[in-house]
Amino acid sequence: MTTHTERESEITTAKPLNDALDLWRTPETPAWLATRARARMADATGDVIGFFRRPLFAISLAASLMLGSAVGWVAPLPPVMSSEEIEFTW
Amino acid sequence: MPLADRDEELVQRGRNGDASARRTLVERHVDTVYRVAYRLTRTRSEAEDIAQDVLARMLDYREGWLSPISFRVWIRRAVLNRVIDASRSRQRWSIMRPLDDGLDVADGQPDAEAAAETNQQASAVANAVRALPARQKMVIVLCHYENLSLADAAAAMKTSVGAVEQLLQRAKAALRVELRALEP
Repeated sequence: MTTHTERESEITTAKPLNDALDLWRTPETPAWLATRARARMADATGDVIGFFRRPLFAISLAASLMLGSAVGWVAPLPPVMSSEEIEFTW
Repeated sequence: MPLADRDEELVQRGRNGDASARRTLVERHVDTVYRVAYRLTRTRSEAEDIAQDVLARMLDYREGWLSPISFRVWIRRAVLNRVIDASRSRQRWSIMRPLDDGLDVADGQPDAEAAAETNQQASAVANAVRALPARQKMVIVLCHYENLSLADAAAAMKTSVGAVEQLLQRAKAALRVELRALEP
């Protein structure tokens, strides 16, 4: 009875087929892949500090605050009515 | 290899916010992940998507590496799982395709990008490997192209060493028939 190791060596010494298989090479890894993966890794691991440091976040936050202020100045919300002011007309 | 440079240690440091550990991990494994994904899928773009996903989630506490499995086995297992997910969603999509007359998706066929294997013999090998049943293809990729031991391949595929042996024998028998013309 053969052991796993013996069978493994039998399997891996089939040279001609292995040589044929080695003809298939993979294309080079795209250079941008590592950069993009690192950026996505920061998101996936919840890199909160990194997120708040992003320029896009800072710009959008500033724009939101400015827009909010402008809307507040131009169109202030109506005052909330107190219960005494509510009149029933029936 | 010093302890600080071991992948498992780098994962822990990366999870604690060490950017250089993250960079090292990605740069160390990007080729492996892309290579395995490319051999198991049909297009470069699909391999790129899968590679990005796997690399981005290496440090994730839920989906990323966890002991006791070794990192080198885990990363290949992660690619296999992602390839299986992609294949399932492709199958679901292909069921819906007859309803979508307007879409011209060459699903299930190697796209123009995959024609990078300009060499005819290399193309024949690629087609023969890709035509194997999924698990036989995985075993060939792990044991032959990635040089994993049977035990590591079994761990990556969550199966027994005996099952990997059988799959490998069947795959090689099928490939011998397909690639008769190429063997010296």
